[in-house]
Amino acid sequence: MRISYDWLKEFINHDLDYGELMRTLTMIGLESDAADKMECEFDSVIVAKITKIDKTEGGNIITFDTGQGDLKQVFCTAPNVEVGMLAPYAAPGTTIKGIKVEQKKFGDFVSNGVLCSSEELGIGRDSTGLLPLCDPLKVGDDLKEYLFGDLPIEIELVSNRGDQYSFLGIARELAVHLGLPIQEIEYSEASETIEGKGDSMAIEIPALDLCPLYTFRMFNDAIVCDSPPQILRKLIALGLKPINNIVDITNIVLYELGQPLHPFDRTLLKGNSVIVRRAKPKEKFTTLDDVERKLDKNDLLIADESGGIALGGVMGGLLSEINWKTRTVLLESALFEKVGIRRTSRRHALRSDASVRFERGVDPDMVMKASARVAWYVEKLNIGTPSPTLVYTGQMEYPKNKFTIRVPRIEQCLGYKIPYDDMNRILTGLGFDVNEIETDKWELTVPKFRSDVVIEEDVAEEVARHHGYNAIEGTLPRIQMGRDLLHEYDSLKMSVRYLLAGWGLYEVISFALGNRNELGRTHFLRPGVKRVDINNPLTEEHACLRTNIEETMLDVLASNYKKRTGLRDIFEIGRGYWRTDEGFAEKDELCIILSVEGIGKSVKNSEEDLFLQLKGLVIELLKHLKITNYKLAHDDNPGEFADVAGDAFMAITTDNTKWGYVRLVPNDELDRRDAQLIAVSATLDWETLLALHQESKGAITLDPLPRFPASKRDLALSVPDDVKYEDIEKTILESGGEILVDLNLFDIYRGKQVEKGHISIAVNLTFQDRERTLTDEIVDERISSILKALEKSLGVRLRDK
Amino acid sequence: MDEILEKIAQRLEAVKKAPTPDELEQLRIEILGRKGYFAQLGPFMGKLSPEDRPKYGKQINKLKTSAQDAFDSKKLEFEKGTSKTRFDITLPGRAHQIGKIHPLTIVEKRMMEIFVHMGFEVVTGPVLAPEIEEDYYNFEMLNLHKDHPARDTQDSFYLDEGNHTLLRTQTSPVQIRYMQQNELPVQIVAPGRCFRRDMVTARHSPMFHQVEGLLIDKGINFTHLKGVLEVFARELFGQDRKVRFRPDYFPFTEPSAEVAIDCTVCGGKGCRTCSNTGWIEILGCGMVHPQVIKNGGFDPEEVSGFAFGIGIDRTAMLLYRIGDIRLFTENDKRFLDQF
Ligand SMILES: [Zn+2]
Repeated sequence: MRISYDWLKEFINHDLDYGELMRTLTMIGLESDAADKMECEFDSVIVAKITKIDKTEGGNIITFDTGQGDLKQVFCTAPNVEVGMLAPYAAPGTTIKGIKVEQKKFGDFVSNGVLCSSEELGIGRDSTGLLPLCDPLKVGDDLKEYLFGDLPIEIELVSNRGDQYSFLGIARELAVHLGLPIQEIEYSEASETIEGKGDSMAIEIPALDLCPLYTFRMFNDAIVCDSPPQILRKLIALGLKPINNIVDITNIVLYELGQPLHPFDRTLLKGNSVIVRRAKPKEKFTTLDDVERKLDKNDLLIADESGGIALGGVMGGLLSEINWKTRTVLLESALFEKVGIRRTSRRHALRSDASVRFERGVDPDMVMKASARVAWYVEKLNIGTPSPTLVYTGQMEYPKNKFTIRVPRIEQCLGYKIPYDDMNRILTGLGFDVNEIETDKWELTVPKFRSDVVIEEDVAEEVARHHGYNAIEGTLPRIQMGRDLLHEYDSLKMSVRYLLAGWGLYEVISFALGNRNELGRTHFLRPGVKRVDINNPLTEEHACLRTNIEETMLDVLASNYKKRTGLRDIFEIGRGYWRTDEGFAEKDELCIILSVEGIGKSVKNSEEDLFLQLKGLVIELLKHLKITNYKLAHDDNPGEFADVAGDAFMAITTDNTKWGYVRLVPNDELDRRDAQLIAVSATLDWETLLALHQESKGAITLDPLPRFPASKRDLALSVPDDVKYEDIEKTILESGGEILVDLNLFDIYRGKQVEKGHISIAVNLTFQDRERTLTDEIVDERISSILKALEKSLGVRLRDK
Repeated sequence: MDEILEKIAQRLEAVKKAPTPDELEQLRIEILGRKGYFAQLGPFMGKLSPEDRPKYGKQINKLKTSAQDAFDSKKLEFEKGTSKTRFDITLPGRAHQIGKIHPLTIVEKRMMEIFVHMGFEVVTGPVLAPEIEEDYYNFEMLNLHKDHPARDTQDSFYLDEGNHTLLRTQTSPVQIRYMQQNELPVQIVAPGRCFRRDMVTARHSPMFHQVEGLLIDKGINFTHLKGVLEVFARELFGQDRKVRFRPDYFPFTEPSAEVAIDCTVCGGKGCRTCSNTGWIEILGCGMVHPQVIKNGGFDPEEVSGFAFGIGIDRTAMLLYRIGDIRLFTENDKRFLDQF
């Protein structure tokens, strides 16, 4: 909602400056900010007074005074010039709409600039004649300085306060705060009120549920023209484009009182009744903005005998609008039901000054007041004759709501004592009638424009707001001890994040929404689930949710790859979403991705290297979290994922449930993202990880430290190509006996020095006996039985020196 | 002769301490030069007895070698550029590079620390804080009925035809879910992801992060709301920040307030960041509406409380002067590297 500084003073005579006013409004809940002024399309246009008109060929030579001592002359064809008239004058050199005004010759006559119409200046629509100016403008005044002189203020209004959508409403708030009276404004009330039919026009309301009250008042002998300067100044301050005096006045009154109005050209209405009805299915109607709209039965239409004339409470129609020839105006002032307006406004994506107010609720008392205010303007500006009759159909009287408050409850809510007198003053100032039934029990009669106040807490806000939130000092509540405040579900996330960052990985937060063509690969851990699609996406880019975080993390990797930032190793703890026949579901997961650039390197070696790095990382992480109850092995049963899983695919399983996997990301998933990378990923279900961690972390019992030294041996083995390390490890551990306590692989070598069809693998063995120092003989004996077992079952031999 | 030998020994000490290569050269000439001490020893040698000569000869040779060594090592020191160490400590250090924690995590962690210290329990996870939420919890139970104008600012992504299920537009539904399943006192903070059906701009993103706060107990009032949030604001933004409360409106709180701190950029004088107001809004809050308390399963005649909501992305933008919300989800390494 926009207001302006000078105009507000017509409602409350305060002495705050522009900045103070905005600060004050903000602190009582009307968040205010300096607004940009409407753009002025001309510079230094001056008010001129016409002193002489000389007829010449094709027009007039006009002599006028500009208040600078000498008289000037221009050639002009405008029909509405009169001696004594004030009009805008642009001297040569002035810029209007980007064009410089120049001296022009008409025969021998040198025209010294131009006298302008409102349309030429961009402040009206009449292009046929000069814009007539009047008081308070005087000869020599700068037009821009006056018309664009008021300072606009943008107020961010809250959604439950329809009453604040007007100068009157804002002045009322300010008046309570400053302890000043509201300035009375003038009205020209109709002398009689007739129900149903009057001034040869009837109102029928078949849709009373959507429009409980409809009124009109006729204005005869209307003179439709540009608005006078004081009206233009107000419109400009609000950033509204002037249209014509009648429409401009209804807009002014809407801002003054918050009651939307709509003027029709009576002669353009067919028949003798206004019908307020629901639209027929598929009925078409063209609104003022020249858009043809398809309506349905939930839309309220104001109609004449031939069809729609306005989309009730939202926007008028093109066919019956006020025009320069209008002589009889029918001014609608009505009450429309909130929800209906809101639905229509949303369905047609049509927000207007009217709809914004109706959907928040308007003051029923303003329906007649606003009509009378327009009549006052019409009379004052002498642009028509208001009919003495107001015609209405519907409910005129609306009862005020009453409720009782326990005053101490207000204190309890605020934790702060506001003197009863103060409370009473504030509430009365806001329009409430306060009836003190008892000292502590007040009956409040709520003004009709404050339907938002219904409970004690609402009253608490009103008094606290005007007393000042910052006058109330903060205190700290009593804290309950002994509750578990930070659950491991969250604290473990934080530990893991810092652990992985310590490892050199970058934490990312990827976008959970994406394109349906790119996201939604089925989740390896959740066979059979479906992707969650947005039913009403705004763009293709955000039309579905990811099922797993790996897919959006790969996007992060790819976008960094394109920018060559060098981001390679990342992790995220985020949420995956999916759908089954039972409904929607979501779970947190940890995903780690390692990658290397995939060009100019031995791709196969990088893949293996990377895969083993990640596998090692996952094992170390689980070890750190004391999780031992799991199996990490090649997934022999990928089920529906057989095609995509590939060889390099390991599942993390506990009690036959897969809860994680490590895999080589297939090329096509990276190619699709234009990333020339080799990537491996690991995904772990967070709940399972947490549960396993909690299951085992408490079970630590210290193993006494060995008292005797360990003995270490290295073995270089020649291994046939088709033998898996897993089997070597198993054989060594089985044949090494109890004293073999550790086994580590420390080198793999493929090359010329190795027997054909073999690779060389070097391992380090640690032997330890808790009861005695191991002798070389004992260890040698073990080594030889290990070698025997390796040779026998796997064909693995000690490598020749 | 002994005098000269003593002199040499003395001057060799000076060699070790020579401050510049020039002075070292001077010393070299003085000791080893054509007219130096060693040269001066020559005539004495001739005068020695045949039995003494080898003994002195050996001694002088040894001395000469050690003198030469002293000069050489000193020269090497100068060449290496330092007189104390034998290696270049200015070479870059070698370390395994440490990764990065996302700024939103850093800010969320800090907020959680502050609130946990004040006795708030952190509530997250798909059970109490689902992101796929029902319209009922996200709106209805929070007084945001179907046709409430306040819904305009929270355009939602719906997941079904009937518009029953949506992506939560705020963390506030956690209030209801938690109250319905717990006893007094309810004192929680719930950080998490939210979604609104917005176009992506520098200031708005369809996905963002919030922290919800809720405290319900007997005797909780507006001064407690102020006290707790003042502590929070100062802990997060600095102890000397001014904190301002002004009236606002949220359908699920009454009275409601918006909390601002004096602008961290201009200190309250007015600048672009604070749109010349001198204040920056950091959170919305209020006393929980009696209907919401009722919806949570408590009696508003018996208990009361306050709630608040803080934008994590917004706060991070403020703390680190980040001008574009999109940077958080772009995860550009050059962005992440700065935290
Ligand atoms: Zn500032």
